[in-house]
Amino acid sequence: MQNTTTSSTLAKSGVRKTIDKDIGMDKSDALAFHAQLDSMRHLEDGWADGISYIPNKGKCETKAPSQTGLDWLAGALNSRYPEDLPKPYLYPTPEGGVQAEWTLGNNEIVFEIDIDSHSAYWLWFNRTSDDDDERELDLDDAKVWEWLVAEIRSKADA
Amino acid sequence: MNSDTLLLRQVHLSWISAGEVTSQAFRPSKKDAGQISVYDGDQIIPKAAWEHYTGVLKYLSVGVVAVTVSECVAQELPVAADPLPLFPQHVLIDFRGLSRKSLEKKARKLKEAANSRGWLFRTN
Repeated sequence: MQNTTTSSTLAKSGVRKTIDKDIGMDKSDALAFHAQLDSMRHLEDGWADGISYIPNKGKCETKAPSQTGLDWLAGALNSRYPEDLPKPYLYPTPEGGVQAEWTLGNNEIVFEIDIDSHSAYWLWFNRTSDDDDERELDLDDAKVWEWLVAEIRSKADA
Repeated sequence: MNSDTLLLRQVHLSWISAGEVTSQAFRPSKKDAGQISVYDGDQIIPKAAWEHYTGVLKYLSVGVVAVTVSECVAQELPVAADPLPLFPQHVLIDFRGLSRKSLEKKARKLKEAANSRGWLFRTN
């Protein structure tokens, strides 16, 4: 039985081209939106599938984030997210979205973004009090971004 | 397994950003039918689990983190051995029946527990 990962599997996952974000980079550079989002651009459908994925057979369980979706998110973050706010960690989701995560003191925030429909799920909770807030958001609404920025600022300052 | 058994979880490279592992590594995605797969750390060491995951199951992983059975129980997440022909050390952590909010909160707490333990195995 083969024990090596095929080059096609590596390419599909983007491993060869992915910046190793956690070794050798200054953390502020690593958290820059373009660095985090660019590292997802080489993912292909099936990026987290294993032996069950058969290339070109149509059935894959994980979806790569779309280039247009990543472009949209990069533009939205660069124009609407102030430089002075703590940046989130950004990750691809198996559904083809992007998940943003913040830990701000005792505050945990998970923000799952559908980068194609521009909708998002927001969850904040406090680890100590267990207070929480969850909501669905429309990121095409400028007021939603204003609210988001205010929320991050208040949690960061708490 | 007992309460101190380490449940070994594989981490895909894309689930690390600036050194931080996403909480997605500790919760089921929509395709997972409400459960996540881990290795029984009493039956296999982290490096061997990584070798099995990448070499036999053909998944991609850059390392292994872990939570204990008791940490799952503290989050009211059932843990059950589920041996498979190609995967005898297979264990499931069960998130079925939870609301999205509850699932995310428990995943964040498992992530915190795993973070405090650090990487048990990491590739270069």
